[in-house]
Formats: sequence, C-alpha cells, structure tokens
Amino acid sequence: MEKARPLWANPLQFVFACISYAVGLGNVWRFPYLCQMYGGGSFLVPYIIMLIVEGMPLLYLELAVGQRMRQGSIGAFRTISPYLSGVGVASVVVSFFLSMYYNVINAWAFWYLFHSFQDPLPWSVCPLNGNRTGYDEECEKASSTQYFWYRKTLNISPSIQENGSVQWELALCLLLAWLVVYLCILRGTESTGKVVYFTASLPYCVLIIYLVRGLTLHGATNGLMYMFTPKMEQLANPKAWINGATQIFFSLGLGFGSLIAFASYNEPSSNCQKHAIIVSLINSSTSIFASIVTFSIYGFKATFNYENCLRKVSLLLTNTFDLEDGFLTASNLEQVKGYLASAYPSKYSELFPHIRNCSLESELDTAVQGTGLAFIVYTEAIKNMEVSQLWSVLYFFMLLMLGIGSMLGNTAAILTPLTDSKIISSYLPKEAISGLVCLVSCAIGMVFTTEAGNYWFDIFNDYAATLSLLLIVLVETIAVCYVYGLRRFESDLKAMTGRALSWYWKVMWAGVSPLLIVSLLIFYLSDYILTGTLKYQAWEASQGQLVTKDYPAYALAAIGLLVAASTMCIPLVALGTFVLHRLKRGDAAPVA
Amino acid sequence: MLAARGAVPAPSGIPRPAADHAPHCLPPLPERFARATTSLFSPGTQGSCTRPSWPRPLTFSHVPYAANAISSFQATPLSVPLPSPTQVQISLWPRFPSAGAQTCSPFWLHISCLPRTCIVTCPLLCPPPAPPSLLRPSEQQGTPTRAENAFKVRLSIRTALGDKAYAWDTNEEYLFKAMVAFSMRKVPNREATEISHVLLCNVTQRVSFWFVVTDSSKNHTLPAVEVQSAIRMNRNRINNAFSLNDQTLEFLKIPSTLAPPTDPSVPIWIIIFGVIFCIVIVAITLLILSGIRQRRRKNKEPSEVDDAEDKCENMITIENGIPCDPLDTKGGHINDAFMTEDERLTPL
Repeated sequence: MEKARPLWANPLQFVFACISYAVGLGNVWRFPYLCQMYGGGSFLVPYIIMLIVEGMPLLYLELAVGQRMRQGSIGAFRTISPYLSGVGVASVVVSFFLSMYYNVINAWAFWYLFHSFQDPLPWSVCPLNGNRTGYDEECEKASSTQYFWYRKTLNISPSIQENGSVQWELALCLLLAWLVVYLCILRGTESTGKVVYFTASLPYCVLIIYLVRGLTLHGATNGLMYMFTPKMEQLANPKAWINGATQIFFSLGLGFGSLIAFASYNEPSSNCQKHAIIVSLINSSTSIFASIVTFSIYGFKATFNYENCLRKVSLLLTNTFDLEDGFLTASNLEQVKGYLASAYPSKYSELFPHIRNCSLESELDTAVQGTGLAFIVYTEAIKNMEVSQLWSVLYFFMLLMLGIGSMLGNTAAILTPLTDSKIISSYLPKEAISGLVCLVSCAIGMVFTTEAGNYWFDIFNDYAATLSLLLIVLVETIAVCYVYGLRRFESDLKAMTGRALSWYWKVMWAGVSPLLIVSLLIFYLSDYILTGTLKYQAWEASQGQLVTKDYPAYALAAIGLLVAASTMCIPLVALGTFVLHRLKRGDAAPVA
Repeated sequence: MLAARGAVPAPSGIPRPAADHAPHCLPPLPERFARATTSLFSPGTQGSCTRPSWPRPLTFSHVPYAANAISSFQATPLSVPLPSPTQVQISLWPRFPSAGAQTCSPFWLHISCLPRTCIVTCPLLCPPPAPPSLLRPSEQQGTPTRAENAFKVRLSIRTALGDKAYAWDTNEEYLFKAMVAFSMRKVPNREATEISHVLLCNVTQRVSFWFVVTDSSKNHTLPAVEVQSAIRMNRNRINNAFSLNDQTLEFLKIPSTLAPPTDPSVPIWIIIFGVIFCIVIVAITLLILSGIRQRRRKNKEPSEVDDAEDKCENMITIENGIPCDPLDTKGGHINDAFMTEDERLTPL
C-alpha cells in the first residue's frame, strides 16, 4: 500500500509557511535601499504595479502547479512533459546553491546575537592599541561597528585571492545554524508546520516593537520625511521599474521550487488563489513596514552623527580660540564661524581643513543595502539607544527568524524531490536524507567562513540565483501555458478546487508575465555584457574603507560555472530524455 | 568706525561688556609678587577682577619683552625697565585695526592701567600665550627654557556637569595647585613641594591655563618629565577632586592611559553558544529516537494484523450474528458486511 503524502495539519500552516519563506532578509535590507535610491514614496508606484502584474500571477501559478501535481518540482514538471523535468532539476540546483550561502547569514546573526549579552556592546568601543595610549588604528580610520564586522566577525582578507584559514568561531556558528535548520526539517511537514508558526509571527512582533521604539527616537522624523518625500521624476527612470520588477520577483522566492514543494503538501481542494493573493500582499506590506522602521532608524543615526559632528567642530573652535566652554551651540555656530573667519583669517584658514561641513543631508544620503545595512548601520544605531543590549538581542533574533524561515523553504525545495523519488526514499529514511543534505551544505559552506569567505558570499549572492531564476520561471510559465495547455490546466484547477479561473490570470500567465520576464532577462544580459569586467568591493584595512578591485580569472570562471550549472540543466536534461526515448524506441522496435 | 573698516561686527548673541574702563584683570598674581607690589597698586584696582563674560582668545602676541628682564628671574619688578603704559598694548582681545583708539569696543580692550608687575612676571613664567597647536619654534626664542616645563590645562566644566557646573575662581585654582603639589610630593625626591611652588598663569574663559612647578629655591622649574609622570600617576585623584574625567580635564602633552576592557576568562558568547548548542543536540536526538520508535511500531503492526486474521480462521466466533466462517472463506479479502450500493438497490 502506498504511503499517503504528508499534509499540512491545517491551511493556516501552509499560509504561514509561505509567508515565513517569502518574508525574508530581502524585505528588510533590500527594499529600503531601493526606496531610497529610486525616489522614496514614488518607488511604491512601480512596485505595486509590478506586484499586481507579475508577482501575484506567477505566485498563483507556482502554487497551483504544486497543488495540482502533488509532487516536488522535478516530479511536477516531469508530469507536464518528460522533456521539461530539467526545469525541476535546475530549481533544485539553484536551491542547493542558495541554501549553501544563505545559512552563513544565519551564522552571522547567531554570532551577533551571542555577543549582544555584553556590556558595553563589543561593537560600540574600539579596542586599545599596543601601548594603551590610543585606539586600534584600523578602528580609528573606520568606525567601531565596521571594525567589528570586518575584523572581528569576518576577519576579512584584503582580496579574494588571499584565502586565509577557516575562522573557527564563525565555523561553529555555521554548524549551529545548520543544526537548527536540521531540527526544524527533521520530520518533514510535521515539524516544519509547527516551526513556521514562530518563524512567521515573531518577526512581526519584533518589527512592531521596533516601530514604536524607532518612531520615538530623536531624529526619526528626519529619516521618514527624507524617505517618503516622493521624487516623481524617478518614475521616468527605467531602472526604477526594472528594480521594482526584480524586487517583487526575488522577494517572493519564485522559481526555487519551494512554493511548489509547499503547495504539494496541500489538500487538493484548498483555495490557492486566495492564498496567493494573501501571501503576496503580506509580503509587500511587510517590505513597506520594514522600510518605515529602517528609515526611522536611519534618521536617528544620521541625526546622532550630525550632532556629533557639530559637537566636534564646536570643540575644535572652542579649543583653538579659547572661547568659553558651552558658548558655541548649534544655533550660533555658523555666525561665530563667520565672525572668527573674518577676525582671525590666518588662524581660521589653518583650521579650515579640519572643520568639515556637517550636513544632515549627506548623512541621510548614505544608502546602504545588504549585509552592510543589517550588520553595520543598524548596529551603529542600536549602540546609541538606551538599554542597547535588549534592542540588539531583539533585532538579531528577528533576523534569525527571518533567515531560518527562508531556509526552511529552501531545504524543502531540495528535499521534496528527493523524498518523492522512489529510488532514494527506498534506501534511506527521511531523516537520513535531510541529514545528508544538511551535512553536505554545511561542509561546503565552510568556504564562506574563511578569510576571503565574504567575497565568495558576494559572488554567490549576486550571480547564483539571479539569471537562472528568470530563465526557470520563464520556462515554467511557457511549459504550463503552452506545453501542458492553458485550457487543460484551467479545467484541472476547476475540478480540483471547484472554482473557475478568472480571465485576468489567463491573460497574465499566457501573455504579460512571460513578456515581462523576457524583458528583465534582456536587461540583465545587456547589463552584464556592457559592464565588461566584473568588479567587487574589498576591505582595505590600512585605509579603513572599501576599495574596488577586479575579479581574478578563476573567480570569473566560478561565476560562469554557477550560472551554467543551473541554466544548462534545462537543455541537458531535455536532450538526455530525448536520447533515452530514442534508445528505448530503438530497443522496442525489434521486439515489436 | 568698525563698520568703516569693513570689520565684521560681533555676532549679536555675544554679550557686550560694560563700557567702562575698570581695570580688567589678568590672572591673579603669584602670591609673593602680590606682597611685593602692594605699594604699586592702588587699593581700588587690586582684587577688582571682574571677568567679562564674552569669549576672549588668549593672545599676548604684542608684549614686547626686554631681554634682560627675562634673564634674571630674581630681578625685582621695579628694576625692569618698562616701556610706558601707553606703548604697551596688551591685547587680551583680538585687535581690530583701529589705531590708537581708546574706545572700549566689545572685542578688544586697550589696557593702559595694568599693574606693571604682572606684565613682566607672567610672561616670564609662561611661554608666549598662543595655542600650542600653532606654537612655532621661532616664537619660543625669546622665552626661557622653562616654557618647555610648563603644561597647558584645559577644563570643560559645563560640558561635564551641565547645570551643576561650578564657576572657576581663585579657590578652584588653589585646589588645583594643591592637587599638583600633592602629586609632586609623591615623587621620591620632591616631598617638599609646596602649593606656592605651583604657578598658574594665563587663565582664560575657556577655562584653560598654563602651570609650572618650581623648585624650593624658586629659581628653576622642575623638569617636564617629572611633572608628567607625577600627574599621570595621580590623574584619577585630580579628576575626582574636580568631578571631571580624562576628557573634560585635559593636560595637553600628558597622554592619559586608557582603561583596558575587562576580559573575562571565558568569553561570554561561548557560554551562550554552548547552552544553545546542547539544547539543539538534545532536541535532535529526541526527535530522531522518537522517529525510529514510531517506525518500529509501524513495522510491528502489519505482522500483528496478520496474527489476528489467522486466529479468526482457526476458531469459529460469532460476532454480531454473523459467524466468522463466511468471512473466512473469502480469506478476509472481501467483507460481505459492506456491499456496494448498486447491488442492494433494485435498478430503475
């Protein structure tokens, strides 16, 4: 008797699993950056349009495919057409790459979380130099939060060529991160279904706490006004639209096979249309919500730095001209400066290079995304809050929840096809397969804990999933609409759920979304070709800042291999299946 | 006149001094000079040290020194040939390019009524008052080598204490001299240092001043290295006496030793890591074991079901009026109790 497919205990678990997967770190550290770069409030226009035109239809498509085929990505596409099971294989390969490097972020979050239980926070003070008369040189040139990130956490080498050794502290944290993920996926949907209750809801609790705290911080309104002031001229910039499309695309996690895997554990009659709309709306509103929090924190940090700068200038002027202590304030600074400049031109001109112009605008203008935002900018803001240990613990706990939620989806995308395959599951129980996958990913992930590990992380982050995913989703859409047949799929869905398919979805699936994806593909390819050699940012310890360097040849080869490994699966598997069929037909002919 | 010269008028927020010609003060004379010069002072001028509350930069850049006046520290003040007061323009204030004017404009004061002695003695003790950052070697040529043994001190009382800031007056200076003398007394050879050996000078509104420690003969100043090490040893006591810290009570040229961070023997993060690691390992082990147990139970069940069917075949039991026999003949494959609907209903 065949084992029944495991199911979610209730539809809420499925929705929570999808939310926990879709709402990830990108909502927190990429969307605020895009908002800032492309016109603040006016970026919401392309974002919402792309959500309706591209995000919801493609999400519904993936959920419907999973729910209909009731198999992981490989099995689902084999059912559609044996030649297209390469799409499923490509999904699994991309998910495997993603899970390898994504869990390193969880390791970093663990590292910072464990270090948050100290007073003072280790990234708030610079360590002393050798003879204890001053601070460490690298820390002086950069800031204490940058020093803690680049030196204490990553111990980064000056370039990607210098590999260095594995950092044992970070390796331990990575091991712990993989153990936690294994604990959550150990029993399949049974354990995952309970864990997603927490990973989906706890980040919102923390975000609400941070929203209240952030809005009450001094200077938060500066950041919010700066962000939400719409710059309408950015709407004419094609990059804003392209970035809106890519953000929706990657934020929902389409093409990895995770959504297909989650939906395959659904009851056939569940209303995946409603679920698709709910999940995409919650994902987008979380992005906007998180960016409100981020910008109030930005505003606080910028105001703090601005006031610090003013204080330093006042101190310098007070000391040089022996003015009365406390005389110079922010309000009379400019006046007094002007006066002193005319009264003591020589002395003032000597001092002038040291008096930087303090500007709130330039502090707010520093747009940061990615790990820099999460681990440098946020920590800098947190160290200036009262009871900073509490805020730090809450923040990194939230990052952990977001990261683990996404990891659950990634590993589900890898494990579901493996456990569906009869060959493998007959030999090994579910726990052993999960354990093996985690072990292999953890072992390869140790590369990212070496001294040059962060550079390899950037390579994976920028190139492993971007181009391949666009291609995978394009082929998926074409496969369902044209190979399987849109009418056939429509009748399947109607039989399964009992609801008719709206014309809107049909138009989107068959026409608009594939066109959008093709245009995104063309944009990405032309961008790669036009940029010429690819460059990366390396940390220069002597200067205390990032410098741009070229990738060496073998790194470029690795990038090419990453992209090829997943995209080539599609034609290769198709070719392989074709050859196998020809061989079978060749064998069968003599018999018949 | 100021406007005519194109000079920038003072910012409006800066309070202006009373436009009188009261002798505005220099830092109080060292005690021994005060005694010797009482005759020179008219009772009204001494002690009437009102400190104007506007910022005044410290520039004694126009004091002409007589070289021989500097050479002998012991020379009595009166024997020093001084230029007449009108020629001495000790600008305590930034000088505006107004020649010979006697008007008290808010930002400079033409001091013509200074106690003469102070003109000589203060510059003798202290180097030409210019901010150390701008001090060039050439300016030091006319000064005694004692200038190298003087230290500049800078206090930021208002920054440190805010509303509770105390005013810097002569009593505070006395306390400071006492603390410096105390620090020097801790040095092996210098137990006999008295408060009177510590000389303060050029106190500004900032508050900043120079000080120097002389030896018992008052001829020479103590070497800078000794003073530096003495202050460094007792920095904490000095700070506490004034309720300030290393950043608000600065001794320029004396670097403070920064406190090293406390390093626990076992880093805290490893402890927390260990706890969470153990919890996760225990949870994984429990889940795996319970999974194995469940699978073993499932493997046992099909064999138990088979046993039950065998029993039924051996004994004829009656259950619900239906003997097991008819059931047995079918070997348990078809259950007559459940017939299909079609067979029971007569077809239409």
